Amino acid sequence: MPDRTDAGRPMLRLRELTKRYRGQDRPAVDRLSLDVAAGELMVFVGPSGCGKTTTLKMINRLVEPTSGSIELDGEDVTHVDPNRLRRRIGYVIQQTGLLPHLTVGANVALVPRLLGWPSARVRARVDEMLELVGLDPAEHRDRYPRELSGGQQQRVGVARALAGDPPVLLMDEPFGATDPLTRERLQNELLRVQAEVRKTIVLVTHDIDEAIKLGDRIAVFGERSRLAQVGTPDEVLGRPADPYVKRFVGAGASLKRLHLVRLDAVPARPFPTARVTDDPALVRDLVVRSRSGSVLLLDAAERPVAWVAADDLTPLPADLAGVGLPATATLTAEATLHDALDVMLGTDGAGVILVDGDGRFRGVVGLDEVMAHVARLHAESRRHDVAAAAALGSAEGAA
Amino acid sequence: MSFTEWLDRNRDQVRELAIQHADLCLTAVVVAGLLGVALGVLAHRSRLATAAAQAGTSVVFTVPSLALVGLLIPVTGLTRDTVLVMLVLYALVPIVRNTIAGLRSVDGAVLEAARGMGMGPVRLLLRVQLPLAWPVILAGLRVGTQLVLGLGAIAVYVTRIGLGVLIDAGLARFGMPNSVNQALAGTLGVAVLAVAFDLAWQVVGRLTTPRGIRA
Repeated sequence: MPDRTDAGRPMLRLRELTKRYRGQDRPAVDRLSLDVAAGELMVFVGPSGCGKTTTLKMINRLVEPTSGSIELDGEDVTHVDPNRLRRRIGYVIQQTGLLPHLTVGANVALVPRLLGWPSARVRARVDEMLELVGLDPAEHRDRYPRELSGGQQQRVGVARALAGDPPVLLMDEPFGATDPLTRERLQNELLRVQAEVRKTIVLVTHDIDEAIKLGDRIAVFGERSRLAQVGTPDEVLGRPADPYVKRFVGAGASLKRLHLVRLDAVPARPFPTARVTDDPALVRDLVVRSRSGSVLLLDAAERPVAWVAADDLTPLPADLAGVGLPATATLTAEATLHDALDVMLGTDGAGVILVDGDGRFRGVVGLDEVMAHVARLHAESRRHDVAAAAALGSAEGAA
Repeated sequence: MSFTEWLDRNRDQVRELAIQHADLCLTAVVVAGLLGVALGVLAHRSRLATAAAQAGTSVVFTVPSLALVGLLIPVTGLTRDTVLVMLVLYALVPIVRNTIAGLRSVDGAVLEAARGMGMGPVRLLLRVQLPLAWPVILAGLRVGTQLVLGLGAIAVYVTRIGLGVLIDAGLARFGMPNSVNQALAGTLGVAVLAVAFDLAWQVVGRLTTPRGIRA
């Protein structure tokens, strides 16, 4: 698989970054080197105490590196004025850190004001940012942080971090303190916002599932910021670099990989269909001849309406309105195989109905199609392992 | 003579002494407020400086007020300044303590986020730390004010100013006609001032506490 970041120039270059705290004989971060490409969402994941947060905070120099260098967009920023640097780097933390004595609008306006933007531009930007994170500006601008829910506060935190239009965004466990439902929604929103703004994002989490879901690439941290593996989620799940990564990724790696495959990677199976307006007798013939013993009814706009089996048509109804099992299990091609599997296990239909953006029927994906794809993934991993082992063997032979 | 009759006849003197008393105390609170907040700001960052500031101001409390006056007289003489210095020293204790406590109570996440956005130390202090610590500092100022109003009565032993004059005269002539009325006028005067100042602080608090952190 081609590396998604090869084309992008690095927005962030960390070189031999080291942090030693006084009174500790071992460095907290030891000669870490890493590039993050422009527009890439890089996730630092690892157990607590592995130095991932320290590394993150060295990027905006809330933690001053003991040695090593940081480059931002080609410029060495290891020794520039940290306050000016931080205005170019958005920062989101778990506890949001909204200033409680300022309104939501004033919080979002902080960095633009520090940058000295004219007030009309600041006002416009505040509204733009609130809209971006899904908060109605008129309703939320003049409220105080404590009047918002945790999820809304975190959204304001993201809006505030993006307000100064920084090229880089640092996020330290941004969703760690929210309940699972809110977390999932915020994660989806981050992906949506990121698709829109395309910032270079470094996000720290200890949750491997979050890393897999959000990351373009994942950096798995071991003890003292050892980079155990840096790669795409698929690489980390499918080809863990060492036993440590394998253990960290944990059980269920195969299931997790299903999160990474979109439904359009799997060939949808055609399925016999009929119109609600068709003659019931003709539909019954179709049902009898079909392999699965059922037919999918579509409305005039080709949207799925109901599954119809032979039982539904005896005795033969006058027309097909309201007949059969409502066809609710629909997904678009953007959904993942994991979503599809979830829907299949939740309903006992013939599979998941694939529809396009307008809800028009495209095909059916069943358990067989999903299993065939999983088998293909396994075969790929095995081939890769064999190839890697062969490469290793020849390298050793040459040495 | 009843108390109200006495008060009616001596209204001008009582009013003048009350104004003196209020003026003395207000000056002491303003000076102690500026000094105390400054000390608190300087001290709150380091544990050592905090301990030193708290110990230093607490020592004042262990010295009886009259003894403190006695210590100051060789330096500043039998003047209003001697009283003022004493009052400032006492008022500093709650103000410094509360300033430090208030600044320390500011949520670390808020500070980290503010620093992460590129706020320097001065901006951080003026725009974040002091506004957020303000309710606690305000409480210190209120306590300091009450302290100073009560202690202001002993100014009379240094120089004859303030409502202490009435209390002292009444007690010195105890048993003579109107001695009780006189002492009572002085005591009630201090109480009335204390209530008035406290109401004033409440108004100030209402006007200066940001809405987002108002209780």
